[in-house]
Amino acid sequence: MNVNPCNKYEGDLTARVFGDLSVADERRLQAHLTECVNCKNFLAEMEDVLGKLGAPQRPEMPEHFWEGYWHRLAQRLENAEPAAPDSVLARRWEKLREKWAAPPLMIPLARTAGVLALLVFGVIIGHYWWPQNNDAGRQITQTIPPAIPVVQTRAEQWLERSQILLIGMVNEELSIEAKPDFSHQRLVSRNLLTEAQALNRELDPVANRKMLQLMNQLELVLLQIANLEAEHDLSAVELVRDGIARNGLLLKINIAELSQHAQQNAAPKKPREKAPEVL
Amino acid sequence: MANDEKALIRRLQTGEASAFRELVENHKRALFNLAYDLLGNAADAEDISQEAFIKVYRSIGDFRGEAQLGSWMYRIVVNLCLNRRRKKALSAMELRESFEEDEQHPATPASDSAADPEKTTEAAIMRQHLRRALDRLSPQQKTIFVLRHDEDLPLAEISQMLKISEGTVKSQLFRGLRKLQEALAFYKMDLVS
Repeated sequence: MNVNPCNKYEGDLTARVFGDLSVADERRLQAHLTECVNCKNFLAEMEDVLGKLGAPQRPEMPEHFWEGYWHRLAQRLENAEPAAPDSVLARRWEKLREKWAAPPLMIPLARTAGVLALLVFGVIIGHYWWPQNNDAGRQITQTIPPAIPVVQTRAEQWLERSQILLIGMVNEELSIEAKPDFSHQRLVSRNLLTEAQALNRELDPVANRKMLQLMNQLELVLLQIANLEAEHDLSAVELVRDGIARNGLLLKINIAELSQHAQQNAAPKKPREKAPEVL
Repeated sequence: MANDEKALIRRLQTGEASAFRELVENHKRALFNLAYDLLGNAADAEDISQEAFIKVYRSIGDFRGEAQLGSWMYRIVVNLCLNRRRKKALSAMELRESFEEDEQHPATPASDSAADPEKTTEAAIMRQHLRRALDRLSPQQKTIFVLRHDEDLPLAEISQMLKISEGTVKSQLFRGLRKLQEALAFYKMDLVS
């Protein structure tokens, strides 16, 4: 039967089981044990568990294994290549980490510059894609490609930001030594969740059925990330990673992005094909 | 830090090949055992311990002697083992295969179990049951438990090695013990029924 010890004495009881209790703490615990049956029973059960667990079971490797150990290691060292990032994703993540590490002032400036560059790019594209109407009297009938709704663009940006976050979670070095700090990721997740609520309201549910489905899946993972404990909650991060891998979320985002780009590229091509026939 | 160790580190940092061999000969069994305790597999234990030595060889220049050389190498092994476990866990298929393999070949040492009558006793079966429960602890809990119980490292050294507070070490040990206790209770219940 499992018994619950007093919360206050959990640390002392654990230290006592492993023989790590100081003399002063030992005296304090002994005094408590004389009047607390639960803690006393708990201690007995823990000692029983450790007793039953016994010493570690290790294989007795034959002597020739140890004799050849150095030789095998030397060979391996000789063949080993210089350390390099594990994968393309890891390299991409390193770049993203550097980007996130930029001073706070630089981030809005970089975003503004990005928006301006996009605008200029849009004007240039527009200039070359729309046929010129220089000759008076000539009427060119053309279909103006429908403008991409703002909400659609926001949804795409939302997907892209989620993708960056997920790549980061997948590639973060997970070790106690590395002391991963997920505070930034938690903040980004919260922002994305807030934005997702607005997008869910604004997106047309019929036209964007697949996008909304993907967003729902992503929201679950974002919720997990947003709720990671402040301390290095490695097992929770493992759960997040499992969720990302199990649902193939990164692949789904890539497919969604590709299909949207394909739709956007297909739309303006029609007038270009038809325009010369009018002349 | 002992003078011998300081001298060895100096020799390693100047690139003396015999110093590296000395280091390997002195620590190979300890690193292998730690990796085995964490992964439960001799092939992985050799692979990880050798990988750790290669890391030490490459980064000994950065070692500033703030920790014991042994603790530093233990930390490298722990991290490599955690990464190995994570990679394995990512593939559900691999996980299932290793589980099935465990079912067929229980995680006992390489010695012949049929020749050892002790292994058929209830105590041995219970120990095996508890060892399996140990594998189901979270990576951090298992690491801390193995370092304290199997490697017999003091709490303060574990805390320093893993760069977490002693309080966290104790609370993780407590949670680990609780889970083992539950596993034992379940086993006993199973026996009664």
